[in-house]
Amino acid sequence: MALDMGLCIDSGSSIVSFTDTVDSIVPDKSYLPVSVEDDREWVREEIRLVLVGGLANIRDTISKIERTLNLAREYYDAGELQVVNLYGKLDAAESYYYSDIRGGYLTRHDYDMLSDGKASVTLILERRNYWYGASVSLSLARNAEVAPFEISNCNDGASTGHGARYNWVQVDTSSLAGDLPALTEININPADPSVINMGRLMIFHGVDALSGSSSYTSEGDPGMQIGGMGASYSGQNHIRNTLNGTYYEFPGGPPACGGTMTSRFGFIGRFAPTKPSVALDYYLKTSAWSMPVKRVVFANQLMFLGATPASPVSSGGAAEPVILVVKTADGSTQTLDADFMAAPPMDGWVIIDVMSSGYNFSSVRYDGAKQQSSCASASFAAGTNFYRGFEGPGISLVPGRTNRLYFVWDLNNRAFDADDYVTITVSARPRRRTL
Amino acid sequence: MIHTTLYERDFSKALVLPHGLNIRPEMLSWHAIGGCDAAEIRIEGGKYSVWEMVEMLRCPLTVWNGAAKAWWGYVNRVEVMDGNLRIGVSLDDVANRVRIVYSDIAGSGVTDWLEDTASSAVYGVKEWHISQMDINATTASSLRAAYLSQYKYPIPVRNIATRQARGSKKTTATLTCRGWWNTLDWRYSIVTPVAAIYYDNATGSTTQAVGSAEANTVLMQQITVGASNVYALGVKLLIGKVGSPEDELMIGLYELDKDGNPEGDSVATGSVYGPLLAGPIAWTDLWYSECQLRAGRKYGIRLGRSGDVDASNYYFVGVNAALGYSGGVMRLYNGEEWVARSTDADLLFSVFANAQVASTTQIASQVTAFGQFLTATDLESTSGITQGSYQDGSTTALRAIEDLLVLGKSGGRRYLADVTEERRLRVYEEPAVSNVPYRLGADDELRTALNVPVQLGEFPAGSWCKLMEAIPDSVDVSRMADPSLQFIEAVEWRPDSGMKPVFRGAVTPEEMLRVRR
Repeated sequence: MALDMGLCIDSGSSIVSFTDTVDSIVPDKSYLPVSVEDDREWVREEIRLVLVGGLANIRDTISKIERTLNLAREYYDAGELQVVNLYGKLDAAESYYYSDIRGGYLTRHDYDMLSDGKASVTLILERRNYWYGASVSLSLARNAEVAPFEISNCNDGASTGHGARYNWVQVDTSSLAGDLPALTEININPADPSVINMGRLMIFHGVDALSGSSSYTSEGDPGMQIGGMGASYSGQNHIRNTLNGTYYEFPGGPPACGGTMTSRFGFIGRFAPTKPSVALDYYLKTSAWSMPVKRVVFANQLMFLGATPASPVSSGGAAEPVILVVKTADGSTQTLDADFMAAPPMDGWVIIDVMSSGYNFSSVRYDGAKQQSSCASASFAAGTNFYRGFEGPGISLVPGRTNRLYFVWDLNNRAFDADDYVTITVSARPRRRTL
Repeated sequence: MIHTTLYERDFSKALVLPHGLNIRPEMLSWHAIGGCDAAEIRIEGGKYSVWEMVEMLRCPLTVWNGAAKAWWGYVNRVEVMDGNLRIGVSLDDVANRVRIVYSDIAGSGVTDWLEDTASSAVYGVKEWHISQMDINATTASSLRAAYLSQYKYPIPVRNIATRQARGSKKTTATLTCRGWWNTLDWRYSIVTPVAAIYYDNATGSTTQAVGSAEANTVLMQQITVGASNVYALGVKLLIGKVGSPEDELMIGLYELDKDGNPEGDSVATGSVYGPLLAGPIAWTDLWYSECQLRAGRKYGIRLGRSGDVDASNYYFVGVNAALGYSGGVMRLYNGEEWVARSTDADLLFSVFANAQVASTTQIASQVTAFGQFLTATDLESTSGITQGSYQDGSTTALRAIEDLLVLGKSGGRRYLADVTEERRLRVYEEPAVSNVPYRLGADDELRTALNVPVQLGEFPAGSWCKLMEAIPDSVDVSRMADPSLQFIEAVEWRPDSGMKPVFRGAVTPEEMLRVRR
């Protein structure tokens, strides 16, 4: 087994190779990556190196190592990670894995050994508590469809001019190695012209989903503006219910989307109260659980109302509905229109504010490695990405398991169109705890 | 997975944070009064990214446990530790709206509020009500401007690095966060008295001298209390002066004798110092200690000067000969007896009083007026207790509300308060001891009644807890409250110790060291 490792930049070509196939530097073969089984983000470790090749060569190697470590510190101070890496592989047949470095230094000793053309140094560095591989583009799957997969803003399976309307896609992680959840990148591109006004985008991640279903209880008609729903709701696919001071169960709660025995499920929906200033008391429930009552003013927009503490899935795998129970806080009577109610899994999730009103986007990117989201817009200079804030712990695809992503969004004027659709690409860097 | 989100100060969306930050809650706490109380968030990352955190003061912050919100509030203090340098900025010492209560030998007064709207637009209104003796109105005004100029923005303060931090090459920051409840301490509560008994129709009014001659040594106006008791705080009168009276115009409220004239000791007294009066007639408040005027009874407002009668230097008050007040008559004392004015008239007056308002209604009013970040108040019951609502502005809304919560529900228990995720203040009666949803065993782990460990994202503060196996049966506890039942006054969470309750009566080290303003 030939340990092949060194320092590089941007997971690219070697800047300093420690490998024994290079005559300037030789690891003493005692290096074993630290494997810290906790949530520590950085680990500190020592690598003992033997430099060979004469004084000039040794001086040059030391300079290269120290310059690289300085660079790592400078990038880290500037907030840029994944720039300077320790790379390595245990066998020539393997792919390289990388661990980000945020700084380090060399301790020198045995200079008097230079007489034989060698010097021993110890490289002390701080690196990420994991190793990651090269980014892998992951293929998508959904039912028996073939690529490209359009993601619609509804899930009725209805055939349209651009394909069936589904809001989910399964990510094929069979090519994803590693033992830790992967650093995942998702790119979203508007396929339907109206989507360029995307306002708030929610992405949910389910692991080991048992089915692809993520049905909404109700979903709007093409082009429907929920703000105007009161005038035109008749015959359209949303629910209008009259509320008063008595708790009312919305009929037909959405089933937990492709639920598993371990997932937690959120509850989302789009609501239009006739009296937006009146607070509503609500809670969610399943057959075995109900959440404490919350009092909120239901905004005329896409809302995230909470999550179940455990999977509402029976041991037989059947997805139970999550029911919204609601009343007016002051006992008054009003109607509440509800649409796009769904219970997506929340093994991971992000909510991204894509664009402010007046701007259009041309792509949105969620970068799990850097914990950033950004978008590009034709309104901005070409190639410019604007960072956007997001809520949520992020999304990390899990190798060796079934991974599904679910999408829902509204437009930046808070309108909501079931016929909107986007296309996505997903890539990931596999992660390992140790080499 | 525990994660933290910071938001724009206007709550509109999640903030774009500097790259490469590791944000880790180190401590979260909740209290039965106010809900989310304090949080310490440690931030590690690149030097320049970490330094940008000093811009996060007053930004909303939410700590999530998976999909559940566990703690919410705002960034109150940021301390950056960069090698040997340790710099902190805090909202604690910010004041962008200032007024001065002043006094000197000539009397006392209070300036208007002076506000720096640029600062309050960023951080919210944060008031300072400062009392300063031995200064006059002019000096107070200058002092007010000086305070505002100095404290309108946070002042970075260099602290001494700990021995451990000294020499460190890492740049880290600690965000010290507070729950929204604490922002009620940013504004002073001012609730004005109400006009309880009054005749203030100045149309066609004239004046009546007081203390210019024997014939007007003292003036008296009878008043009649309506169907409810009145908790009088003072009287507003139209007062002017002629010349330069150097004494005081005295006011007293008196019971009346059978002839309708003042008798006995005054119910309440007040005064205004002559030199402080501007001269031309103007509505002037004369305050006295709060007194109760009983429903349906008659009293007399008595006006006289503290010095001798002086025909050149005296006071005058507004009266109206239209005789529109039906609750009593005005009389003058001529040195021998009370007589009607030559042209009969009524004194123009307004007895202002401390309005008696249900304590829960007062809480809601305080939140509406002074809870700038709170969106609503949800009262789960009405207290059935009425209480004076007057606030003179020397107490913050937080203290005023805390005093009202303690009153509790009539015949019941105190009220607790909780600021919800939507920043609504929920006010509810402390649960009965029969409702015990939590338990604590010898392993010191807080659990639900179903014996499931309490998770971050659950809120046990303000609930009862049963101590399991804590006190052996052999201990005689017959003369104590049930020691196995403890009320959870607060809860603190740390990554290594989890959720730890603080029971009522227990004093935390933080409370021992806390300095209250």
